[in-house]
Amino acid sequence: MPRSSQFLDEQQERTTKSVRLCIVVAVLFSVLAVRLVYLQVIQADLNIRLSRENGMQQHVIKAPRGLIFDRNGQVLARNRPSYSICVLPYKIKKRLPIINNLLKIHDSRGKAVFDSLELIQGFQLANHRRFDPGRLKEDVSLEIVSIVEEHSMELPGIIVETESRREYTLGSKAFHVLGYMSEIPETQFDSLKNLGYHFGDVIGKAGIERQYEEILRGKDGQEFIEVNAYGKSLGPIANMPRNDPVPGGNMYLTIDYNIQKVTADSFPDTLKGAVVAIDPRDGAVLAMYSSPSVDPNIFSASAQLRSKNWGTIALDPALPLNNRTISGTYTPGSTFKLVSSAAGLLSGKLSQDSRMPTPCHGSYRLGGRVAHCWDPRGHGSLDLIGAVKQSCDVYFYQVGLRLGDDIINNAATMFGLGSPTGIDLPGEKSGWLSGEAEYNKKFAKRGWVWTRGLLMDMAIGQTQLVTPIQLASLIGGLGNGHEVFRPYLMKEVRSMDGMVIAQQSPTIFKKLSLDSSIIATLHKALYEVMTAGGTGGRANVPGVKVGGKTGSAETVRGDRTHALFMGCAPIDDPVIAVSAVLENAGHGGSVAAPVAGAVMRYFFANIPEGKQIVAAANPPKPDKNPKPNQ
Amino acid sequence: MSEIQKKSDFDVILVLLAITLWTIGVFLVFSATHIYDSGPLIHSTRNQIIWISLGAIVIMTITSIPTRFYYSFAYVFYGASLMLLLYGLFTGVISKGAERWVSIAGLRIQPSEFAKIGLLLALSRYFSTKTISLEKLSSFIIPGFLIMFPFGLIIKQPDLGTALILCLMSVPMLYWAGLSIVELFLLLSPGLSLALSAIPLILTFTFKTSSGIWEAIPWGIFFVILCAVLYLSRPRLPLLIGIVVINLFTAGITTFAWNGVLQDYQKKRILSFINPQMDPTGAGYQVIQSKVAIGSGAIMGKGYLKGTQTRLSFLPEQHTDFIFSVLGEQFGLFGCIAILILFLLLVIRGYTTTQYVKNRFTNLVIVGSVSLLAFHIFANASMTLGMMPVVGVPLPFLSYGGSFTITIAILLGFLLNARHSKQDF
Repeated sequence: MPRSSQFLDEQQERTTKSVRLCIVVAVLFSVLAVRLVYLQVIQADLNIRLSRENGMQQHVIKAPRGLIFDRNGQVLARNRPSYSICVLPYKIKKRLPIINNLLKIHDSRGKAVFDSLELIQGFQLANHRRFDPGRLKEDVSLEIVSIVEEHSMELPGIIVETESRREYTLGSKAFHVLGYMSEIPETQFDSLKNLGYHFGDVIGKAGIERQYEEILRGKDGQEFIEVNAYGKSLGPIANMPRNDPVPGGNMYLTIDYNIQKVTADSFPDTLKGAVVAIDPRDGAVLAMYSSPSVDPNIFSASAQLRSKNWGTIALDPALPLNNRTISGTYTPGSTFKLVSSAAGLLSGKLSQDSRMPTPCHGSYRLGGRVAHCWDPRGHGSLDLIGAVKQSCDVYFYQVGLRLGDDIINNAATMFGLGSPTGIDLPGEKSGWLSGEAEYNKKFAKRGWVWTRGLLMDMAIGQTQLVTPIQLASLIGGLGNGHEVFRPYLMKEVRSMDGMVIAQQSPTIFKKLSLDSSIIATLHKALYEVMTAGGTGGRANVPGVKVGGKTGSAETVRGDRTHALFMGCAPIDDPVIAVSAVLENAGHGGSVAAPVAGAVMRYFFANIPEGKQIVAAANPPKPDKNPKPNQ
Repeated sequence: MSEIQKKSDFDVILVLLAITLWTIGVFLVFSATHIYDSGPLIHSTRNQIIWISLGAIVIMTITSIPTRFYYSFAYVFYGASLMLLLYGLFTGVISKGAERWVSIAGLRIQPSEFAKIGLLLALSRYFSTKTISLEKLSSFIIPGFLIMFPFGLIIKQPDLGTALILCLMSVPMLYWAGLSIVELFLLLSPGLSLALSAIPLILTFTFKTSSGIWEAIPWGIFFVILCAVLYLSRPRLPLLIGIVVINLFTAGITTFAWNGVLQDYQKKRILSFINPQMDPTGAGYQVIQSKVAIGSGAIMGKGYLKGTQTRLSFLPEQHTDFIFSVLGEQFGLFGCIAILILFLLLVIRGYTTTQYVKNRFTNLVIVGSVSLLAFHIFANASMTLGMMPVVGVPLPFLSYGGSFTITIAILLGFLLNARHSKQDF
């Protein structure tokens, strides 16, 4: 081929272009070389230090969990420091000498701290996560901690981890309100990892701790720390990314520490059931107690204690973990007669003086069915007030037949029965209202069909299901007369420096369409129950007009009835409404009323607001009882 | 017959370079994985040797096939690689959060690897008979589409690193195909404008403070240079106006979109897409560990198999994407520079092959292949050195991995083939 000029040009162009490309690549590689010199020569010392075996550790800075206070700032849940002896498996070359050294540790009473089986298991378990500290003994005393730290030379790879654990000042007395903390199970860990949880973290499992987990837990921070060959921290490394932890918010509840305590104390230990006290003016829950209860502090104890206790709790047939105040559904019994009365008054089919065609002779006959009154002696002819006061079943059988299921259910719905109140706790049940459609749906499988006779049971509250919190809202609404507030527990959240960062204001759950004459009639009926001849006398409070209603709900045939009571005081303008349910305990008047009464009596005798009301209603009468001091 | 053509039938130097690098690679993979006595990594070294042996067969096959074959089937390869990408999008096995793998006949392959080869051949074929110039904007239409299809599909996986490598590879090919350096600059200017105008926004968003007008300086300098280049090169008036408008537009749209349209969480998502390192617990931790490992190698390194493996075990990808940190830790600055020199020799050897080959198609294949290797090396090394976001591109010859080893073998095959059968075409 002749060396034409065109060939030369092309050849020349290819050379120029390929040389230029080579230069570009050479320049790029030189940049890499400069960077290498920077890292490997200029920064070499720092990097060598950091790379010495495990010189650098990523360290999670746990955010302190927010505290929980009552309405007056009294602490309900706080954090305490807890020390664990841990092993860093990747540092352990030979296990045996270290196990032997650990076995030598004795506490001041001469008792060995570890046993060999436990240690071997601990080491094996820890080996699954070689770079994370594995727990050998948790929640040890400071004394043991100092022994281990003194002997860190003989115990390479053994470290002391400090963590904070939850402590509940009221223990089992406020278990269901506050809930408890528990370690995240391995099975759930994967789904929670993305939310920033670390392995071994604890999470709120029930009650407020679970409901407001997001607010209480804060946000963990992290830093890179330099550690020496024994795993001891030498402090954070400069120039490394560090995120400061954000502490959880401190939560103030509507609960009153003292009322809560009295509520729990006044509940008979051996019985199952629930008590709720709310402020009917805004729905704030003052106290809520469910029995049987559990001490939440055991969940913060060491694993051994925890698993031992967990067994008894989980297998207890009384289901102590259930919060009966919101998830226990009970037949309302005679307490429901107030709803029937309100329904009648609202519909105009009933008035204060209404008497039923058939007076009570102890039973009532409808077709072939004979329905009995609780008092076989009979009550004779009663007006509405008297029927409520004496809780006459025969009177209300006829009310039920006169009103029909729709009218009764409308009133029940108006008071918030049959649907969850929406309280800020997990696991609330809705209860159930009877009625033709609902009944046929529910019992379709069993082939039961609604009959007119069931209207009679409906009017005396023997077919429905309500929760204690609904019952408290109901009596609160009856007392208040204008609205039922949504019960709530979280009042406000404050940051560490006291700034209010979240607040919950009262919301109306149900608006009541009762005119003042109906309210007056209902108040009169509720008040009469508490007077002589009524069933609720044992819930009376000295110096205050209480309104209430008892209930004894039939349960499974043969068992004792559930005892129910709901009451509020002062009846004209109530500041406290209490419901109490005691399972299979007998009559509401004799068993439930005293429990609710104790709570209300405490409120008016010891709480400043209650004392003021008593003082205002009973001005001192100097002429009759002159006080010697004055 | 010229004498140059006669003495260069088989490129021994290139083969020797490849063998050396691959051997070093096997040793590094062993060093990175030998501490595992169980688990999925136990057979890494053996597998890598198998892959390299397969690669050798691939090289021989590719070298012995006449170049005309690649020319004729270039678009078929391209089409097939697109099909593979599409197939991957629909059935992709989730691997590390990205759908980058497809399973065909029991074989797990990365379609994006073959997309590189497909695009390389397609662009070479297209430019072998066409030239490209800013003066004739229509000359950009077909190459533009050729690049955008695989680019879009790979971005969707999402694999930003590979997608960008694909674009970068095309730039030297465009240069070879006829674009002048000035034209290349003007072509890339909207992208530069976008990136530079985003700097102050990203800084402000990340650090919550603004140092004001100073952050706009990089873009200002860029714009001045752009104007100077435009003034000196004097393109046709519509083109000139078009370029200025596009540059101002991209700078403006970033600011407008960032401040006006995007929500904070969307910004965060964009940032973590560009730079996964933002999350110090995840990819950021890898980079920190990688930098410490390389830096602690200092000048002479800690010696083979003497790296602090326990800590490096935190790096799940040390035998793939982070193999360079294993090298840096154990062989120090000397080792790294030596490897870089070997790479550079390979690149130079590759690019200069064009001097012996007259055929335009073959030359474009050479330029594309070598550029692909060079950008892979640069991107991977800067990633492990903490100079670039972690985007997950492997290091040629040294990183563990089947699909990528075969890709390298194919590229080498092209280079050897170019010399071997230069008269055939």
